[in-house]
Amino acid sequence: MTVLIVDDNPIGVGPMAQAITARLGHEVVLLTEVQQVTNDIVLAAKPELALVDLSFRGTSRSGLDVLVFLAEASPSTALVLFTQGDDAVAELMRVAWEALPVATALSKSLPLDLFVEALQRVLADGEAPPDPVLQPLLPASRSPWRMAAGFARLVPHAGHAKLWQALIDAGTDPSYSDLHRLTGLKVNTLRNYREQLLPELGLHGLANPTMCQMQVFATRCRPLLQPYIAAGLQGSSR
Amino acid sequence: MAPQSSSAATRLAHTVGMVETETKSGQLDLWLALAAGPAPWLDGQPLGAEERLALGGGVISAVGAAAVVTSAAVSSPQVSGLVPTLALCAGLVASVALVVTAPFCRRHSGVGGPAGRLGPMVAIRLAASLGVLAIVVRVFDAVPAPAIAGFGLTAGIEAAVTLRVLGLDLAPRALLRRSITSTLHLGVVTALAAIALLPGPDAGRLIAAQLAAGFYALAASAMAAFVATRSLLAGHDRQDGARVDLARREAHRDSAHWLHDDVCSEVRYLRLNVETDGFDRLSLIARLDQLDHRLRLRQLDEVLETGDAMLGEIIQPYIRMAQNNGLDLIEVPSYETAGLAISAAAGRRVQRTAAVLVANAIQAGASTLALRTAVNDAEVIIEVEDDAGGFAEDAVVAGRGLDGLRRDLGRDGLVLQRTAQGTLARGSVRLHEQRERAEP
Repeated sequence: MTVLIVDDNPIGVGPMAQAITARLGHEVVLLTEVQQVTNDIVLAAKPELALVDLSFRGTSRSGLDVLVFLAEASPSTALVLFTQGDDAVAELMRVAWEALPVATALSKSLPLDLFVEALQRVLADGEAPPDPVLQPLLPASRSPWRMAAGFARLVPHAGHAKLWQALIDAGTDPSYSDLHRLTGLKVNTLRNYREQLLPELGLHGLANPTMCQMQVFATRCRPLLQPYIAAGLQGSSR
Repeated sequence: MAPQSSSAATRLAHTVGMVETETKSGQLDLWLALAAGPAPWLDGQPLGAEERLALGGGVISAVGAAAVVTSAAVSSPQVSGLVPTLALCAGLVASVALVVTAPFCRRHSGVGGPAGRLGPMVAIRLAASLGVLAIVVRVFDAVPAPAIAGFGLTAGIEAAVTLRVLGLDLAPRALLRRSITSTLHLGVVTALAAIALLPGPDAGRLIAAQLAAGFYALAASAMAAFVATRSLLAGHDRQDGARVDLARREAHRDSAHWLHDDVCSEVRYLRLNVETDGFDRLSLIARLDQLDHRLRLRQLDEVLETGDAMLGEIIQPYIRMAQNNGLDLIEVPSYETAGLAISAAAGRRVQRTAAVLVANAIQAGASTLALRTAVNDAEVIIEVEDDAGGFAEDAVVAGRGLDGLRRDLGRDGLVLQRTAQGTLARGSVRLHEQRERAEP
């Protein structure tokens, strides 16, 4: 049985990996970069469980990229969020928790005994209660509106796909003019697209957001939006 | 701020490219955007202080021009009788008000509220402008220069602010070129030429000449106001508070996070290794836990420096502290209450309350702990219940944690109750400032 750990701090997760091997008797595959998580690795390792950190330094990719990939490529793998759970990743953690079939969420400060106990429970039952440290940051029930498939409603057609892609590509605080340059769409059209998305964005906690706030959301949720953006852009290029 | 500069650079580059590749539909889009004014492009955010100041100057110009027309209407031989004069003046005031107040309507983005489209708003503003023009023509034989200048200044100032909000740094020369080649201008020129060239009464030619003079005087004053406003605003970054705050907040969060991730990971590594090797375990673990806790509090300080913080984030270090001290956490706040964003000032009071109550339970030798939060309009209630065998109210030592907390929270702000297994401590923290939910 194999446990996959994806974390850019190998020193920090070393004792956890040792505990998994020593106490649970499972093989550990440790990957320190998001790009290392490929189909080949997953096919070769066939992980029963994947411990995934959320933030990776020096890259625009996050643990959400890994989780989305694993949920698609290896649905039988139990996904476990493994994070400090601090303010910087709280939103990302909530998004991952609600969008994907995450088995549990464990904080990196969890004492080793409790950590091992939680993994045992996930391997036996398929899920475990989140670490109490993280519970205040995670909704008790997951909203069906914010599941991965629901992100399709944020990209109803090609124009919205262009807008989201431009928000992801643009520099900080893009103006209507910047988005016009990136999309080729008129400023009034961009404004109309934004307003069409307001009800759906409200379901994601964004009440009448600015383009800047939409950009923060798009960057955070990029792995969940990207398939629908790609499909929209592909449709428009035909 | 670097991102602003880079954004400004792309906007400048865009200016050149856009002018060169402009299409008629693109031009129409620009004029539509200008006619709508700055409000629809703010996405509900407020204008910057200097932008409001500039638009205020525009309002004063329009009001001055309207005053000129109104006083002329009252004494004009063209308008006879009290009722028509009053009706004319009322129409003028209403029209001017419709035109000049629109830029200040933050929530407006077209008639019908935030979800509306530009069309109705543009139509109303243009109709109001035409109303002003019709009244002026009715009152005067020829449009007076002060009125022209006043309305022109208003239009120029608003155009400069609108372009700035759109992020389009349009040079005056480019705007002039667009204006000259615009459908509106070409239409006016064609109409005036037709009147001048076609056979007809001299009176018609005279009116056409007066209209042409008025039109170009208006355009000239608008252009002058545009140039002046643009250069005045160019010295300031856009003080769009919410956007700047958001960017700053993200930067603070990132730096706080990396401090947290790097330093705390090392601490955890040391702790776990000491635990494994059995070298000076207890004392070293305790010291490392203290260091870990201090670093997390420092991170929380960084977060609170940025403003509002989520209740769950504020109490999180104390949940960790209890967990690291071996306590079984039988209850922690739910996301539904802990997802509330509270002000930094209230956050610090919550932090202090949680610190004292959790530390007190640990020191009393508790093995289980329940931490609850509740929120009402005025306060956040922090409740800590332990199984440490009970607590005597008179055991509160003057000047120590609980005594100091009672002084901070007020006499009724801290309640200590004995339970079957231990103590229930409840601290009520005033919110003072308006709160909002971080998430639905």
